[in-house]
Amino acid sequence: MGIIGSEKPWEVAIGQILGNLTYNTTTDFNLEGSIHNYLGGKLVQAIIPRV
Amino acid sequence: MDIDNIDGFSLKNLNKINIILGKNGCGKSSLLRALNNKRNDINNVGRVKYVNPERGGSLVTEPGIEQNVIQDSAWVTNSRTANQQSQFRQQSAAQYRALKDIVLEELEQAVKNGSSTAGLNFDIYIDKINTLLDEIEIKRVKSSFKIYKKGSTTEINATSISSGEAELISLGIEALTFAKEVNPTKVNLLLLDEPDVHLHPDLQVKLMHFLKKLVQSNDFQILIATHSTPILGALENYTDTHIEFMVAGQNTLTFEPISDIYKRILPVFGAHPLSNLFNEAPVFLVEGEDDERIWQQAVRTSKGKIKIYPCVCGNVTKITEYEVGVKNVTKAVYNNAKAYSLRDGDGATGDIPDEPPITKFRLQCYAAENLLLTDEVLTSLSIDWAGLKSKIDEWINEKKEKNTHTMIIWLTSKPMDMIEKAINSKILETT
Repeated sequence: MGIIGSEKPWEVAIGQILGNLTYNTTTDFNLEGSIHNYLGGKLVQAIIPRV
Repeated sequence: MDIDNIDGFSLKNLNKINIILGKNGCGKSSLLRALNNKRNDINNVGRVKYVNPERGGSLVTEPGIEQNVIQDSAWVTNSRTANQQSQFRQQSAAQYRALKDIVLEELEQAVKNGSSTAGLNFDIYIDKINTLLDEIEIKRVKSSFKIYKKGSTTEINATSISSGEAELISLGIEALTFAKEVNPTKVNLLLLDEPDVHLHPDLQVKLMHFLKKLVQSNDFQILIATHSTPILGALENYTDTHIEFMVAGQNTLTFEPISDIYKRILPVFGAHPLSNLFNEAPVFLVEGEDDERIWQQAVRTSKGKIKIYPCVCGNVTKITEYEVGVKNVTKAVYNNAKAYSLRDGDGATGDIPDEPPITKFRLQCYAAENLLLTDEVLTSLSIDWAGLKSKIDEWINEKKEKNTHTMIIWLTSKPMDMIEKAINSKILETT
């Protein structure tokens, strides 16, 4: 985080994105850089709120 | 200590206090009643007393009941063969007098023998009962007792006190009387069936501390059948407590210490015995403290839309142990329980098979740190992947001259063409 110039704890940065994440049936799990892809479809579908 | 084959039930590894946690209908009361009703089948049995779950009546003295209690020490035990005892509190009030008689007889005997009379003062027992009460207190009045507003002379009718206060006085008398009646050379069992009924969680904790002190200084063991997690919480650090999570049809109960795993997952239940928190925000087992912090933040940021209770296990091996603990607890407490566990990817791909009630996840990247490199997180930090790579290169070059750090050596030795390979290319580069 220091390299980026942010003082925010990295766990908080990730947690905030996860907290605002939503899932719908068209979510693309093949989009390489997306957080959905890193988390995996099973986890996203069970935990992330649906829209 | 073990108790074998009492009406088909066997109990293994009993300690001073033993908790049986299980759903309604799983057989907890049947087990306790079997121990009470077939007590003569217990090897080297001394005293056994069953405290029914449905305790009715008022804390008033009824001559007929008092006479039975005084004349026949087994009368109370023999009268408690069902879930319900409509005159339970009248029986407790009658035992107050029996307790007083026992203490006075001991005093008389001590004086006669010229031995110490220290501790043979009935006021000590009154004080013990009053430690359970916040708003009221009992005081000796002739052969019985009366109830007063604490610290005052304002008398309160026994039928006017709250059911929780009546429970505490009643259970206090029952337990103290039992402690006086036991035979220290034999097996003595106090069987408490749902002692939490009518009691606020804080009072349940107070009652457990009272029982803990009592059982420490007397030769008997307690079995508590309950749904109450406050009771479990109150005893979690008392090393002489064992627990068993009972399910329907179980005839052999093997008690075990309250392990660190149970202690960690206990807060999941919240403070209320009827809490369904486990299902509303299921436990979410994770490997490390960083994972826990990430998901706690996610729950906070989502404003309740993400419904999980992150619980750190320590490492991937420990997750497996925690999963066993969660299964033991959930099967004994909830129908249709839910729980989750999340493992790091650690280079593996694909999903892990579930083990109901636990749904198992595996990160599709190496570890939670790698989520920092996702497009969404980088965007939130006002940087893109190309920009981050450039900053990382700058940082590495800066450190190169004076580097002795193995990570820097490793990073600088990797060819940059490794970056674009595989699904976690960003991760590969920075691992």
